[in-house]
Amino acid sequence: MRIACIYIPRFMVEAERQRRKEIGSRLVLIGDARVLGCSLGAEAVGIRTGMRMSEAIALSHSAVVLPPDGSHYVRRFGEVLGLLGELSPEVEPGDPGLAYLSLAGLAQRAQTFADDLITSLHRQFGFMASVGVAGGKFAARVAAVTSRSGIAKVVPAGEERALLAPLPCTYLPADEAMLWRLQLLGLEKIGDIAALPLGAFQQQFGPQGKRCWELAQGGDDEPLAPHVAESTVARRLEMPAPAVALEAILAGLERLTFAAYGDEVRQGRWVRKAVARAGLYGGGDWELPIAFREALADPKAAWFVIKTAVTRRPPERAVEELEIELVGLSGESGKQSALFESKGKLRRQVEEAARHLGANGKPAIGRIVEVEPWSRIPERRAALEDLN
Amino acid sequence: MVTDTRAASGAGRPELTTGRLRPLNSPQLLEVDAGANGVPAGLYLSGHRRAVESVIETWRIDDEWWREQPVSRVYWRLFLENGCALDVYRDAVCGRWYKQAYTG
Repeated sequence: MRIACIYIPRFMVEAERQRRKEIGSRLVLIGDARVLGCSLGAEAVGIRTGMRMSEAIALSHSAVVLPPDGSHYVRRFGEVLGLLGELSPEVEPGDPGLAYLSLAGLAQRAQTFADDLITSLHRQFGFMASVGVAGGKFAARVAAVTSRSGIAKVVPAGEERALLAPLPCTYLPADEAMLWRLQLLGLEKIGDIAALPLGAFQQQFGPQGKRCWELAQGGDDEPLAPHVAESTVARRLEMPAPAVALEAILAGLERLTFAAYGDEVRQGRWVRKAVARAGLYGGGDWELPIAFREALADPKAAWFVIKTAVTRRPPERAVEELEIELVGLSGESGKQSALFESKGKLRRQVEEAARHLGANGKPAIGRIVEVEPWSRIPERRAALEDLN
Repeated sequence: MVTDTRAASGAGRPELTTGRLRPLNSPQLLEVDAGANGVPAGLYLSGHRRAVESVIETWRIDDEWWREQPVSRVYWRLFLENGCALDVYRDAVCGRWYKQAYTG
């Protein structure tokens, strides 16, 4: 099966450059204690992913250091996946910036398709990608990663081994110990491994070695694990001024929650989870996933849960933008019907309220239980049992 | 509220409070102005004196006389000047007054 790999180099840096015009062409480092991503110029001065941030800054004093904003990268890459999903029914996302597409049943030439794909990604999202097309995921990824941005490399069927042979073994999915041993044995290129007999190689490196040997032959039968598009509803609100007061943030989130529940995409379905997000003043994001204990169709019930969660873990800085996303839309409530519906409903409501009120560790709601109902002494007759 | 071990324990019984069970309708110590005949004439609720307009009913409970701390109470259902009804009792053992709702 022909597979295309789309690779957007330094995706995190590109996503940051697009939303922060002020950093322009300066060197960029993304990370906290360690570097999670860096721009091409930073790589050029010797900075590598995983390096300690203090070391990286020492190598490049003028670099802009940004905190990682994972939710923003995931969201931006989700937009890219949305486009890919329109082109192929089978799309497997990798790390942000990397995805695989099945080209089964493709009517046009693979080269034309790949060139058009690069153009579309650049026009729609401003990302310059490279694309590799081969008979398996591994060869397609190597073809994409080793190509310059904006280039599509199509590996003719059966020529995967020739593509891989001159490349260093670091492209293989081998751990550090195996790479070190390969180096000791003088096996530096993938072609060196491909030339060895499988039995001897597997005897040295076990199942990992077998996998690497098979990949070195150009074969890769690992199937695509297609991404299942999840239906979501999101509503966003820009605050007129950075908001610090929790009341203002809650008021905005309440409005968004009711608006999202009113969206026609939801079509009366239950919601299993909500994600509250905020763009923080001075950069960075705040995100709070809130999983509902039971799927909720009532915005009031959902808002009660969201409000409780946000009050407990509010954004730590002033908020410029708010968003509520409803995910896990379902046609099923996931509730088992009670024999006496009205009683069951009431009980659920009480239990839900008890769960939220008692979340601070103090029992908030109790049930009266009879102890000695026949007693003439009033305090002996009943007691309060904590529901939490 | 004043802590009163006798009231909290229900006199002579181990305390009801456990990990999940809490006592309900425990008696609360009350300051009562009683006349020479022992009939309550006024009482203090939240620091405010309320005059007793009338006595609706009175009854006595004697129980657990075989225990170290027997239960002996004289209950009064009172109608107060503010239009509310209130149940109080006088512990015949220690002589203190308590507020406690009495049903059935």
